[in-house]
Amino acid sequence: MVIALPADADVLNPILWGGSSTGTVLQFLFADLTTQRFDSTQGLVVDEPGLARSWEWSEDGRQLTIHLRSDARWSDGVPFTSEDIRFAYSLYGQPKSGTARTTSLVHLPRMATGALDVDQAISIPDDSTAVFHFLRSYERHQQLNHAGLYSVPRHVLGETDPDSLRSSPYNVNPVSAGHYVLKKWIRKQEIELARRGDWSIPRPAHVDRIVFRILPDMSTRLIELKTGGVDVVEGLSPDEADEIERSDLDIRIERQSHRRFDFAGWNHIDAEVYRRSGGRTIRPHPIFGDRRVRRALTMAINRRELLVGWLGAYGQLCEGPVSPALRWAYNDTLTPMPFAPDSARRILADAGWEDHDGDGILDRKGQRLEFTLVTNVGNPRREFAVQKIQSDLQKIGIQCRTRLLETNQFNAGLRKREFEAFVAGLSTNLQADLQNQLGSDLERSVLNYSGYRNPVVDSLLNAASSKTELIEAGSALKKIQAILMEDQPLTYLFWFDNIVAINNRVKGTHVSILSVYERFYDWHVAAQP
Amino acid sequence: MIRLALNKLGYSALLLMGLATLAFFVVRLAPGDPAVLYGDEGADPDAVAAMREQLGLDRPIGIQYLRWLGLTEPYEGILQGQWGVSISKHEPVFDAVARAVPNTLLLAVSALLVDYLLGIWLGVVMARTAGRRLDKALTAVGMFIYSMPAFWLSLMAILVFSLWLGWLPATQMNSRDVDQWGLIDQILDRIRHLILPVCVLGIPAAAATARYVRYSVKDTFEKPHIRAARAKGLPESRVMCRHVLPNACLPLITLFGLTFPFLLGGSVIVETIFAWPGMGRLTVEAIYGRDYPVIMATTMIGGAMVVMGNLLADVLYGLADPRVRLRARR
Repeated sequence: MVIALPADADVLNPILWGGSSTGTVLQFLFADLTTQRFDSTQGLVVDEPGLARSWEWSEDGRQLTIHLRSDARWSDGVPFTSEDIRFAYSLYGQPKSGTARTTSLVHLPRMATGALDVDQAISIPDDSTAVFHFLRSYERHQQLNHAGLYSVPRHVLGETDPDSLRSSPYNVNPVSAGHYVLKKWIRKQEIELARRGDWSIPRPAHVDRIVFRILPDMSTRLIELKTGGVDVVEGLSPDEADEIERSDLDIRIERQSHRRFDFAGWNHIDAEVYRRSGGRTIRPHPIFGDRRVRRALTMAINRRELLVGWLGAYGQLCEGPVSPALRWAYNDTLTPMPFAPDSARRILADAGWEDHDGDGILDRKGQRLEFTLVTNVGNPRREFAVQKIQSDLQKIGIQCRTRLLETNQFNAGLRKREFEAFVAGLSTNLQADLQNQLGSDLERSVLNYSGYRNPVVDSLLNAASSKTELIEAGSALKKIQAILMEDQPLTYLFWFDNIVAINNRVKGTHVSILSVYERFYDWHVAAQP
Repeated sequence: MIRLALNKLGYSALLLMGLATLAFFVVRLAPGDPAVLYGDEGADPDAVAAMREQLGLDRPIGIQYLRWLGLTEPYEGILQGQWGVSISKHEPVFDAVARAVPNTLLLAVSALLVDYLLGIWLGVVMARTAGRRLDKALTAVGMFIYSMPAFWLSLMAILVFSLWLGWLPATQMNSRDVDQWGLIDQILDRIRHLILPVCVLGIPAAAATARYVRYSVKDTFEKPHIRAARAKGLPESRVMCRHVLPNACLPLITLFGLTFPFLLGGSVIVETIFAWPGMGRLTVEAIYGRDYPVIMATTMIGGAMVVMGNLLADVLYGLADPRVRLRARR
C-alpha cells in the first residue's frame, strides 16, 4: 500500500518528532498504550486495551496504574517493559532533549530546574506495571492520553546524553514497538515499512508493506493517485474530490468531518495598547469590544452561501467550538444565528453606528466602522471567505479592508493578538477541552486569539475540567456554548472536511474524526486481478 | 590573468561575509518562531520557552550571530566549518546539503546541456534562415515556450506524458524497488525520471539562448572577415565552426555566468512539482519552517555560486577573447 505524504518525516524518534507527516508514519511504528476507538453513537473516544492490558485509578484519582502486556517486544526482540515508559518520560521531561511533547507533562511533578521529576512522577513496581502520580485528579481519558506518549527503548538510548539526542542515529533508524518496522528511508523520497509478523496488539496487521511517498505538490499527488502510483491521498479540495467522484476511476472518497473549523475572529481587546504594554494593559477594542457589534457582524455574513460556494457538500455550518460529533458535549438546542442583514443594521444603529455623514460607511462619534481583515496567503478557502465577508459587510455599510500575510507571519501575529479581525482555523479537541481557546488568562490561553474574557465561562471551564468522566462535563460545556452564542466572541463559519481519496483496492478503511488511519491494522489490499 | 582572478577572489570573500551577515539578521528578524512551529498546536508557553532556550533562540540576536560565526562558546560555527544542526530535521546541516547537492547538480547540468546544445543549434538555424518562414515559426514557438510559467509547463508535461500517454514517470528520481535492479536498469530508470524535469527546465532556457545566438550569429555573418573566409572558398561548415561560432558565442559566456548559480540553487517549482529532492526544495522548506541553520547554509552556497559564476565568466572571457587578456596585462 502506498500513501502519499506532502512532506518528509523529520525524525522517526517519538521524543523529537514535530511535523504532521511524521505523526502519520509514527503511528504505524509505535503502538499506543490504549487502542482508541470513536464511538459515534455517544461521540466519545473509547479506550480499549493496547500495550496496556488494563489500568485503574486510585481513590483520589491522582494515581493511574497501568498493567502492561507481557508479550510485547521491541523490533529487535527485547521485551517492552515499564522501564521503557519511565525512561521515555525522563527524556520527554528533560528540556535539553528538545522535545515538543511537553503539553502532556503539565500535571506531573517537576523539579526546580523545570525538568520532570521522573522518580516522583512514575514508579515501576515491576516490569509490567507503571504508576503515574499526577498532581491532581482530572478527566480520566485525558490522564490516559497524558500517560500514553510513545515509549523509546531504554536498552538502545539509555546511554545517550539528552543534549545529543538530536544527533542520535536512532532518529533515522528506530527500534520500534508496533505493527511495523522501518525497512528503508530515502530522505525526501520515500519511507518503507515492513509488517512485523510477531506483533498482534490488538490484532495483527494485514498489509505486508507500507510505502510513504513524499510528493510535495497536490497536483502531482493526484496524478500519481490516478495512475496507480499511490493508494491514499489526504487533503483534497472539494473540486478535486468532485472530479474523482465524477470520473470512472477506481477510487473512492472518504471524509473526516467535524474536526477542523474556520472562523472570523474579532479582537476584543485594543491590539495596539496590548502590544505596546507587552500584554499587561488590556482595554476593550473600540469596535469589537461591544457584543452587539459582534452579533451584528455574524448576522451580516451569509455563512450558508460561503459554505456552499466553496465547500459544497464537504463541510457543515459551524456554530461553536464543540464538534457536533461529540454528542455528549454538543448543545443541539441552540438556535443558530440567522443571516439577517437588516437586523444587523438595526443592532448596529442601537449601538450608535449609523451613517451620519452620508458617505455610505457607518460611523459613531466621528469613528468610521472600518477595519482590516487578515488571513494567510496560500489558503484559497480562507481567501475566498475573506472576500465574501468583505462583500457582505460592505452591504450594511461596514468598510472591511483585506490583507493576506505569509503563513508564519500570520500565525505569529495571531499569537500576539496583533490583528483587529482575522480569518483563521482551529482543530477541535475530542475531549472538548476549551481552556486554551476561551480561558481569560491570555498568557496561558494561547489559542484565544481574539482575547475573549468572560468570568462565567472561566468558572464553567474549571467545572468541566474538574470532572473525572467526560460525560459529566457535558452540562458545563453546553452552558458555555449557550453563552458563546450570545457573546459571539468569534463568528464561527464552517467545519471543513479532510477529504481522503483511496484506491478501491485498499479495503477495510475506517476514516473517522479520530484519525484517517484509525484501526489501520484492519486495512488490507485486494489482490490484483 | 591570475592576479585578476585573485583580486576578484578576495573581493568575493568580503562580499560573501556581508551577504551572510545581512541574511542572518533578515532571517532572524522575520516573523515566525521555530519553537512554536515544531510544537503542538497551542503548546504551553513554558514548553515554547524551553524549546527556544534549547535552540539558543532566547539569546540576544548579536550573541546568536557570534555563535553562528563560531566566535563565542562553544566555538563551533561557520568559521570552524560547522554549519550547525537543522532545527526541523535534527540532523547536521552539512548532511542535508550534501544529500541535496548531487541531485540538483544532476538535474541542472542535464538541463544546461539541453539549454546550450539545443539553444545554439536552433540559434544557428534561425540565423541562417533569418527572415524566412522557418525563422519566424521557430521564433514564435520559442517565445510561446519561454513565456509559459514553469509550474504550468511541468503539470502539462506530466499530464500528457505520464497520465495520458503513460510513457514517462511523473515524479521522483527513481522507481520503487530500483535498488533491487541491475546497474544498467537503474541508470535507464534514472534517465527516464530525468527526462520530464530536464525538458521543462532546459527547453524554455534553450528558447532564450537561441534568441541570443540568432542575433549574435546573424551579426557575425555580416562581418568582413566572414565574407573574406567565404571568398577564400572555405567550406561553410568550417566558416561556421572556426570563425562564426567562436565570435558569436561570446555573449553566451555572460549568460553562463548568470546561469551558473542555478546549478546549485535548484529550481524550487520544478523540484517541488516533480518531487525532486534537491537544493530548491531544501531551501524553500527551510524558509517555510524557519530552519535558520539550513537557510543560512543555502544562502551562503547561493551567494558563493553567484560570485563563482561571475568569476568564471571573467576567466572564460579572458580565455576566449584575446583583447581581454591584453587589457589585463596592460
